[in-house]
Amino acid sequence: MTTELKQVSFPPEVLARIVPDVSLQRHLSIGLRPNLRNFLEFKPIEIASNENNLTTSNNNIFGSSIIKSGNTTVINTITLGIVENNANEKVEDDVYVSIYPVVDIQRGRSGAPSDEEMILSQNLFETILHSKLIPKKSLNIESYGLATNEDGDIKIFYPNNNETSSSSNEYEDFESQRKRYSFVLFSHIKVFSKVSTIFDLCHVSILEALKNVKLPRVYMTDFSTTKIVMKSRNSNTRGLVGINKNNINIDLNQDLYYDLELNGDGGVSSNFGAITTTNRSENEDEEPQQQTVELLADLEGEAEEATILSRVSIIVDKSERIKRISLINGDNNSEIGLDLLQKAIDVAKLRAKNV
Amino acid sequence: MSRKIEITTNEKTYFIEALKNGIRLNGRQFNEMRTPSNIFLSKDEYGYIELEWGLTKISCRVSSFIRKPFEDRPFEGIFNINCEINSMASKQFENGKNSDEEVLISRIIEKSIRRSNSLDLESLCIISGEKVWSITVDLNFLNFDGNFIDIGCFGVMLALSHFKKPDITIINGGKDIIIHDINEREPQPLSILHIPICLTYSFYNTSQNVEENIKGESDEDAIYLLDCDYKEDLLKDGSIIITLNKNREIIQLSKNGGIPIDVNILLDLSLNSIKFVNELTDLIKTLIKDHEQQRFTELNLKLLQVGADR
Amino acid sequence: MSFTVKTSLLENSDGSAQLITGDIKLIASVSGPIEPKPRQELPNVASLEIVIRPAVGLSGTREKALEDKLRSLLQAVIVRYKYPRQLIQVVIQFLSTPLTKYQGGAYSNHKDEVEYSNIELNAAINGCYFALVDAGIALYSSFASVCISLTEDHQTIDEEPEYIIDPNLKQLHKSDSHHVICFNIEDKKANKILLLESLGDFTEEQLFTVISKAVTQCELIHNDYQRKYITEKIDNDYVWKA
Repeated sequence: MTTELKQVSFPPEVLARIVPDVSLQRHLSIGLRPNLRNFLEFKPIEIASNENNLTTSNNNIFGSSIIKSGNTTVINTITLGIVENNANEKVEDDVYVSIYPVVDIQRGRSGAPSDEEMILSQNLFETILHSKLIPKKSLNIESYGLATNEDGDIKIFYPNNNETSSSSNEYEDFESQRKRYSFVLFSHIKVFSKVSTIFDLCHVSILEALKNVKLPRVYMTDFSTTKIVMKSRNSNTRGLVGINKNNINIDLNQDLYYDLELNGDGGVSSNFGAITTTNRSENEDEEPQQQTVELLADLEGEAEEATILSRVSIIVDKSERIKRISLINGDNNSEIGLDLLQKAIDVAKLRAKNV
Repeated sequence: MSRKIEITTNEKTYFIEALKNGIRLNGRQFNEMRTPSNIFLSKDEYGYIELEWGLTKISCRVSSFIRKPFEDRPFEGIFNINCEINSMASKQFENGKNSDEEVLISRIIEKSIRRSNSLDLESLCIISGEKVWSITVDLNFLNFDGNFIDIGCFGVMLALSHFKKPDITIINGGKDIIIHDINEREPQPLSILHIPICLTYSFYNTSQNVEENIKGESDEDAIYLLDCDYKEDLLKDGSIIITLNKNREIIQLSKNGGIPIDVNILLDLSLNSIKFVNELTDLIKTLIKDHEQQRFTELNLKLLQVGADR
Repeated sequence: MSFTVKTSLLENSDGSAQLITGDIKLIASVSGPIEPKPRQELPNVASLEIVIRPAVGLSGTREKALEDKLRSLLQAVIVRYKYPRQLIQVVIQFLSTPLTKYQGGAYSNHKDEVEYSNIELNAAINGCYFALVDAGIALYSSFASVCISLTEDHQTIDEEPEYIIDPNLKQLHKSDSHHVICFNIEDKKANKILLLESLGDFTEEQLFTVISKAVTQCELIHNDYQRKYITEKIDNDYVWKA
C-alpha cells in the first residue's frame, strides 16, 4: 500500500525559520531582500537633535546621543575620569587616544557582558584609536582653578579669567609644583531591541556623542595633609601616616564648559555581505542560469545573518579617506573579490558624502 | 564529560606491584626528582624564562608597572601571580573554568611565594602612598606531565631572580619620578628575601583488600614518591606538599585529603627534602650567576664600569 | 620577514607549533577532533573552540576580539563537514610580544600601551597554520598572513608613501595605517583574500597597492617557510618508510 506524499507548503515566515538560506534565495531571485530593501539600500538612521536633556540634567554626563534605526534604539552617554600624567612625559601633537566604550545589549537580564558585547567594545575602541579622532592634547587639563576659602565663602580662581586678585601669587606657587592630569572618556552604550549587527550604529552613536562633549573646568582645593591609618604586616601595631593630598574637583558650572576638539569627522561605517544567487529563468524547464555574487548592504534579520558569511565593514570619512576595513570571506562559494570590494568602497564613499 | 585518561585495572595493579618491588615505571628511585632541562633565560627581556622538567613544560614572565598603592598599605608594592591552566597543557583542564585541581595549584604557589613574603614588598615602594611598583608574574603551563606545583614554584622563583626593573630617580622634592630607560641605566634586580622550594610527595597504599582512604595495616604498605609524573599523579592515593627554604624553615605544608600518614613519616620527608631544597636553590643561583656573567661579557659592560677594582 | 618554526613540541596536544616572527613569539596548540561538550556540539559540522592567551596578564576583551577574528577565518579554511559533532580546540599562547620586548619586560605605565592587536592576529594566523597541519586537520587550502604598515610623508605631498612589511612597534607608531591580510594559497599561488583588517587613515588606491604587495609576500611565506617546514615534518614523520 502506498500513501500519497502530499506536498507541504509553508507560509513565508515559517519557511524563513526552518530554512533561512532557501528563503533568502527565493527573495533574492525576485530581486528583493527579506526586509524589503533593495540590495544596496541602507536602513535609515535617525539621530535625535543635540539638545537631549540627558547631558543638561545630569551632572555626571558630559556628552550623549540617541540614535534610532528601525526598531533599534541606541542610547550613548559619555562620562569622564581623571588620570595623572607622567611628569617627564610630554604630550605631543601626534598622539591620539581613544574612548573606552562599554556596550550593553538589553535583553531583559543582567550579568557579565556577553562575548558579543566585549568584541564590539574592543573593536570600537581600536577603531576610534586608530582613526586618530581624539588628540591627546584636547583631553589634557591645561590650567586649573584654585579654590580659596575666605570667611567660609568658597571662591574658585581661574588664571585666564583675568581677575586681579591677591591669590594670583599663591596660584603661581601652586601651579609650579602641581601634578599634571588629563581626562579619559568613557562611553556607555545601551542598545535596545537589537535586530542586526550593530557595529555601525554604535560607531555613529559614539561619534555623535563625542561631537557634543563639553568638558568641565577643574579646580583644586588647598593642599591638605591627611592622616591615614596603616597596619604593619609583621605585628599588630597601627600607626598614623601623614599624606599630602590635594583634591581634584570638577566645576559643575555649565557656563565654563568648553568643547572637545576633534580631528576630522571620524567617518561613516557601512557593512556589506556577499551571497551567490542563481538567476532563474522564466521558463522552468531550463537549467538554472548563471550564478552571480551579489553585494547586499547593511545586513539585517535572521536569514541574512545566518546565511551570509562573507562580509566587509568599511568606514570612510567625508574626504574619501578610509579609516577601517574589516573583511572576512567566510563563505567559499560567495567570495568578496577585489571587484566587489571596490564596489563596496564606492558605495560606502557615496554614503559618507550624503549622510 | 571528562577528558581524563582512564587507567585500566590491569595497568594499576601492574603499577602497584612494581612499586611493591621498589620499581617506578619511569625508572627513577622513589626519592628521585627529574632534573630541569632546556632552561631558557631570555637575553633580551628581563624576567622571562622557559623550562622543561621531564615532559612538563612551563614559561614564566615577570612584568612591572607603576601604580598607586592600596590605601591601607602606602609603603608596600603590589605583587600578583597569575596561573591559569588551559587545555593546551592537557585536555583534562577545561578552558575558562577553574577546576579544583587548578585552584589548588595556584593557591599553593601563591601561599609559598606571595604569602611567605619572599619578595620584599617594601622595597617596591617609590613614593609612599603615591607610587609603587606592581609586579605581576604570569605562569603559563604548556604541557602537563605531573607535578605542576613544584615546577611552577621553581619557575616563578627563577623568573623573579632573573627580572630587573628600570631604575628610577625622584625629582621635584618627591613629587615626580623619572623612569630611566633600561638602555640608559642598568636596571635593578628585585630584592628577594628567600627562595621557597615546593616538594610534592604522593602516597600509594599497596596493601590489598583495604578500603580506600585508609592507609595500610603496617607502615611498609605505604609508599611515598617524589615528583610524580602524569600516570603516577592519576593513581595517587594522597599527597603532601612541603615548601621549605635553604634556612631549613617550613614555609607551607599542605595535605589535601587522601590516605592519612604517620607523624614520623612527615618528619622524615621534611628532613629528606632539605637535600633537594639546597640543590634547587643552588641551581637557581648558578643559573642566574652564569646568565649575568654571559650578559656581562656579551655586552662588554666592563667598558662601562667606573672606578678601580680594589 | 623571517619565521622560526618548531612543530610537535607539546606531547599532550595533537598538533603544536612554536612560531617566532619579528618580536612575537607564540605557541599554538590544536587538539581535535575530540568530543565536545553537549552545548558546543553542532549536528553537521565540527565546532571550534578558540582560546587566545596574552603574554602578560589575564585574557580580556582584547583577546576576545582576536579570538572572534581568528574563529571566522578558521571556519572558512577548516573542512568542518568532515568532523560532524566533533570539537577542534585551538589554543594560542603568546610568549613575547613587541610590547614586552621593547620595555625589556618592564612597562613604565599601563596606559601607554597603544593597541596594535592586529599584528598579534597576524602572528596567530601564521602560527595556527603550522599547528593545524601538525595536527592533521583537513584544510581547504593553505593560508598565510602578512602585516603591512603605511607611512605617508606629510611634508611632500606627491611622494609615494612608504610601505613596510612586517613592521616593528616603532614603525607602527609612526605609521598612518596598518593592514593585516590573509590569503588562501592554492598551487603555490595566493588566490583569494580570506581576511583583511585595516585600521588607520588611507586611500582606496593605497589599499589596493597593499593588497598587491601582500600577494607576493604571502606566496613568499608559503614557498619559503610553509613548504620547507612541512616537507621537513613529513620527512621526519615517515622516516621509517625509507
